[in-house]
Amino acid sequence: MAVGGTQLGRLDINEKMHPDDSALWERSRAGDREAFAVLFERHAKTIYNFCFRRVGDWSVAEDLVSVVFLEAWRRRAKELPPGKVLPWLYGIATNVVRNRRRSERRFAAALRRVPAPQPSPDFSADADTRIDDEAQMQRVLALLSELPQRELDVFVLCAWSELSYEDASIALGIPIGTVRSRLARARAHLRELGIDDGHIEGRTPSAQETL
Amino acid sequence: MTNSGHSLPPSRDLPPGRLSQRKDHLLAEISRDEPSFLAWPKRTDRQGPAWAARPALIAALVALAALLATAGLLVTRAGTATASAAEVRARVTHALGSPQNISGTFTVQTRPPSPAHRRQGCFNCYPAVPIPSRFVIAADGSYAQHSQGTQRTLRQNVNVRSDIAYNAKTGVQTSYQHGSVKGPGLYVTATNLDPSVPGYSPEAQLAAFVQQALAAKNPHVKNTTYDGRPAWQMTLRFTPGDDFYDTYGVRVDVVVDRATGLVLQVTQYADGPDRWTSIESIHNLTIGASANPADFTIAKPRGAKAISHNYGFRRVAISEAAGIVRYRPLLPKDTGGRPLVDFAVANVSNQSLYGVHAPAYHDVVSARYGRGLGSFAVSTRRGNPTELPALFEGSSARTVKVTRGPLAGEIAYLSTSPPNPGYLAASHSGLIVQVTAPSAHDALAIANSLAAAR
Repeated sequence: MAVGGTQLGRLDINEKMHPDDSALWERSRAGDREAFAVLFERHAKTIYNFCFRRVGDWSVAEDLVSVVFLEAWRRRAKELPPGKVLPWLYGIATNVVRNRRRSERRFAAALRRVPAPQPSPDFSADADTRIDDEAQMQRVLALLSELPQRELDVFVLCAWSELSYEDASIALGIPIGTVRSRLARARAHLRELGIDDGHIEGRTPSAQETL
Repeated sequence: MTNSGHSLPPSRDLPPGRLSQRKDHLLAEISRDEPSFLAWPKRTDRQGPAWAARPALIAALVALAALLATAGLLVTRAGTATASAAEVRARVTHALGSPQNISGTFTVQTRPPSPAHRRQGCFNCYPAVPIPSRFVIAADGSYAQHSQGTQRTLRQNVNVRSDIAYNAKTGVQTSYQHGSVKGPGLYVTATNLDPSVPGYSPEAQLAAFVQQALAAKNPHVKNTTYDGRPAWQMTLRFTPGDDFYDTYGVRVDVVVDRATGLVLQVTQYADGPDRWTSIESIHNLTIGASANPADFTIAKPRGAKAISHNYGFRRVAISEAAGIVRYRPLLPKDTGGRPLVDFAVANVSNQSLYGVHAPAYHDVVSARYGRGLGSFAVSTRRGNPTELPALFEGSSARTVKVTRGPLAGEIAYLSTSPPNPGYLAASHSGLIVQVTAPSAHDALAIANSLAAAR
């Protein structure tokens, strides 16, 4: 149906005030921009951190967040299984990062219209921290550069973003069994490379904050 | 390696103020009439003509173009953009949720399971000749359909004519039938109609099936042309046990107009995947055709037998309904954004017509929300649970439990027959409650959202 079939019957006040992702996505599919903006507010931080961990640059990650959501809007005809909006956004983000130059070219005009950052009183302290983050992330990414792209995609989704196998399969559009085998191969490769995957998998408290 | 050297940096928020800036930017971009990212930008950064700088690339492109052109000639298909089944379904849904004037010709062509002369005791041993119907559907819910042709029977050829029209502005339906029964043609003027009875729409009929089928199946989508228009073609295959198998058979081919999302053709293969048994087609499709109010009234032909039928519904305010029917009607709290477009009550609604007896309905309240295929209707009337099975005669149903609202705990019947995807009926406190919606999911959701209106 044209306008949010899944919206019907949602009488619960809490659900009305805080509709779930699927309800917002159904409304977005019907052209409701405000609903899409709520999805953006809800998941921008998650996608921002995911993109940062793929490119190691906070500024680039910020632009990629915009690209991911513009791409999601462009593909809003997509029907998603209930509760799978975020995995799908992860999938778009993975593709956007993988084809970064291509994505940035598609959205170049839109990105040129992004307003300049507003001055911030604690900008310098924040900037220093972020520069440290970037150096740290670049080191990790350099280690992982030995991994084949397909294994890296699965590893980052499952180990760093802690997606389930099912959600990773939705994000990447591959069967669950393939997710499982690629993750196993990625871990084996990391071990061959002498990398402590248990640590790099993000089992530190800081990595948990991404969720 | 050490932990400090290779641990992940912590998760961070976007810099102060940037989340709202980016959100505003996103809203501005997606609100543009033609967002720039919907099309690839033209390159403007080249120095000099591209062909001079990249001869190898140009040669490769020329070779590729030649290959594609050859392939295009071979397969005689139009366009290059393909879509997923879900995208096609969303397009169909969007098209029908947007009321617009549509006109065309609707044809149903059928073929018996085996050649007619081999069948035992056939009444009509000639293959049925399809009689096209011209139709016009207006954005306001008015519609008209005209068909006229010759039916060939064992004894003679019979000229048949069937017209029906509904004028949404006057609320009057007129129809004329000739040739299907002996005697003069029958001209019927029907007034004070039930808002919950769906109107004529061949497009909606075809699309209802396609929406349901595409929700259950995920066929490959191919590009094709239909009446010279770029279209999508899909093949759906069903096996015993599918809801669709009993009604549609082993295979259905669907053609959807790419520009409008309207379903143009549904071909059924009831017995085997290689022999069609039914083709429903829309040809001469026109979108946005101007519609004259006179188009939606059938004039009485000379010599026709005229009958007037009053269904007994009165358009009143919702607040008046309880005083008329002596119970508080059940209406949905959440309509999914669909406006109330028709609301009426009837103390007695006579359903007998053409000499066919049918029981009258008492104290009926009917409401319709939204227009087009996306619309739904809720109707309540006096009745008891023993009436429910009869409402599903000729179609299959399953029972579901309503969990919220006044019907909470009641067992409802929900149609599983694909032609009636979203029909639900339940009994509650001496009332029969019926919901007609685009899908079974919607019908149940609406039943769960009902509340007693004041």
